[in-house]
Amino acid sequence: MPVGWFVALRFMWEQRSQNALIISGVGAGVGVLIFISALMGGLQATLLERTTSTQAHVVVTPLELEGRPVEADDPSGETRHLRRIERPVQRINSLTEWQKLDRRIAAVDGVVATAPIASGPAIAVRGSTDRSVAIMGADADRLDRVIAIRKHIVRGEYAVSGSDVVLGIDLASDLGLVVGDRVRIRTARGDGQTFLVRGLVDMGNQALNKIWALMSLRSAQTLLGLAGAATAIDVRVADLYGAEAAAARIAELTGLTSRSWMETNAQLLSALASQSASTTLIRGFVLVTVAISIASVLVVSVIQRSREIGILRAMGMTRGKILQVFLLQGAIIGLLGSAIGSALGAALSLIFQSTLRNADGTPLFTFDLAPALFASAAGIAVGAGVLAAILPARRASRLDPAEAMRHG
Amino acid sequence: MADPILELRGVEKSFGSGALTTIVLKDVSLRVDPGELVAIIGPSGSGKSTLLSIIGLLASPTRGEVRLLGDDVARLDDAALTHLRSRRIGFIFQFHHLLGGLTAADNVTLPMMIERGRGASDMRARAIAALEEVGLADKADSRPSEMSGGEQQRVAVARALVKDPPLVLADEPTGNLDTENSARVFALMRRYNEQHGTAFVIVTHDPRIAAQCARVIEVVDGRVRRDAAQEPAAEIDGLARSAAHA
Repeated sequence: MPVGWFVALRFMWEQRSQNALIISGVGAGVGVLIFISALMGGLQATLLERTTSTQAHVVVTPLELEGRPVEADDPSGETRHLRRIERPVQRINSLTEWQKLDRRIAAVDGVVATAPIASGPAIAVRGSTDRSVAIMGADADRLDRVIAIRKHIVRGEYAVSGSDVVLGIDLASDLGLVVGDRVRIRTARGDGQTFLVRGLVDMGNQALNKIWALMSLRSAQTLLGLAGAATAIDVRVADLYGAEAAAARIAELTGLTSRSWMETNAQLLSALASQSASTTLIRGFVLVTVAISIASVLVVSVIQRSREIGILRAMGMTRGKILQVFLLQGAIIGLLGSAIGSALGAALSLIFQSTLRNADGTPLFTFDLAPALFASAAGIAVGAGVLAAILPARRASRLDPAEAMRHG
Repeated sequence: MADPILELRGVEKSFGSGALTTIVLKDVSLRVDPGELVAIIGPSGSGKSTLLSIIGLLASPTRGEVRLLGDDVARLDDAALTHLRSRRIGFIFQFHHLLGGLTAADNVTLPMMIERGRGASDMRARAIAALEEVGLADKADSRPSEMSGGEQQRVAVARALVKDPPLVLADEPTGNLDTENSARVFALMRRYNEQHGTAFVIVTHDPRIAAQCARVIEVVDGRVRRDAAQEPAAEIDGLARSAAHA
């Protein structure tokens, strides 16, 4: 065994009760750090998953109709603007030549799937009951590649060809519909068609469950009077956080409105960012606490051992080796503390995960216990240990051996 | 005459600066040859311990030259000095300064580990042999706290001698021991000096120990007042010899 390790381990063993205390302290700190990080990570992943699983990463729509200022010639030669600009009514605005557009968008860097959509408001009628619905007309397979719908089907199947329709689960229950029933869907203009309910979908989002009526692109076009046009192209990108950039590329390419989920959920993202900042703050404080406790124990140790350090120096131990002895102690305390803390943090997380459950018994969310989390916790603790040991170690290495030993 | 182990020329040591300067050693010159048994005596505060620190390369002189085995130590950096100390000098102090967490054998092993940078299988056998020389082979696995003061100091002697250095420096090695243990510890050093030709420089207050050395250097007020060879006295009493050979 290298002599630095030998002496460091013996020093630590001699003060084992003190070291055990400090290692448990470090363990508690690291445990909290892992628990909080896993909690936040899991929470964020779940929130993001919920948000992005019910909407496309990028939605491409036609440019909105803007009101134009009315200009009038002024006798003086200056142009005068009218003060009030009225926005035109936004009627369903459609993408013509969407097939060509769809191909161009699909070729954009980072885009993995696209689905042309025809959507708009309508009313579902059954007997004397009616409900407003949002028609989503799209090819089932293509839409499923952009927004996972098939895995959210809870009754029947995701089949929307011809006059088949899939309804949100809450909408179906409002209308008293089950799979196999028929429902009439009509628009405000009076066009209507009778559909066969083929499946019910639960998107985990009540707003959608109450209004969604999924049908074929052609049915939707007919109902909404779009004459073969689409209203939007939904896009899925490879990198969730690359959505903003992909949206910008699409906008530049097509000159259309292109919104990413990050733009539509800016509030959620800023909440997540501030949550991450507070996690970072907690990490920082844990680091400082760990460092201070390790430093305090080593400072005392150096003072208590000044004679022993003196004799080691006299016997030929270099300053560098003395430095190493104390840095090693800091690192070992950090490492052992992080091992205990990892076990503690993982245990706490798993206990919480099994306690926090949805009404249906599934976990509310999954704690994010990634190996990288443990590695970073170990890194932080060992780093703090070494950092904390620097001052005491330098002090030890600079002890004057003659001076240290004279005072028996 | 053989080359000296140690040579001091015009060594001066002062602490502080300006008006507060305290000169502890003034113009000290001396040489120690292989196999010598030298006692340094003098009143408290005369500069004996500072002189020993300089000889042991634990402190550097303010002025003057120190040569250890021909090397001018002023030319060496801390790492080279440390290395030289590790290979050439054994230390014995008034307080044993054993490492409390280590057994007697591990304490004696330590100087060998420090020199080689790591432990090796042959070191324990050498440590046990050194403990045997001081009559403590049976205490090899005891910790310092389980031993008497005399035993602790004998472990410290074994630790100083285990690498068979040409020079051993002892600062009041018996200052903390009763008469019986003093005699025993000194007898060990003297026997080692005779059998291995190891040079010893011993700072002591004890006139009986000084009387048994072949040469006595008296330091007063930072100067060498007397440096004379003498006929060493016989051992203090029969007890020491029998103890040493037990």
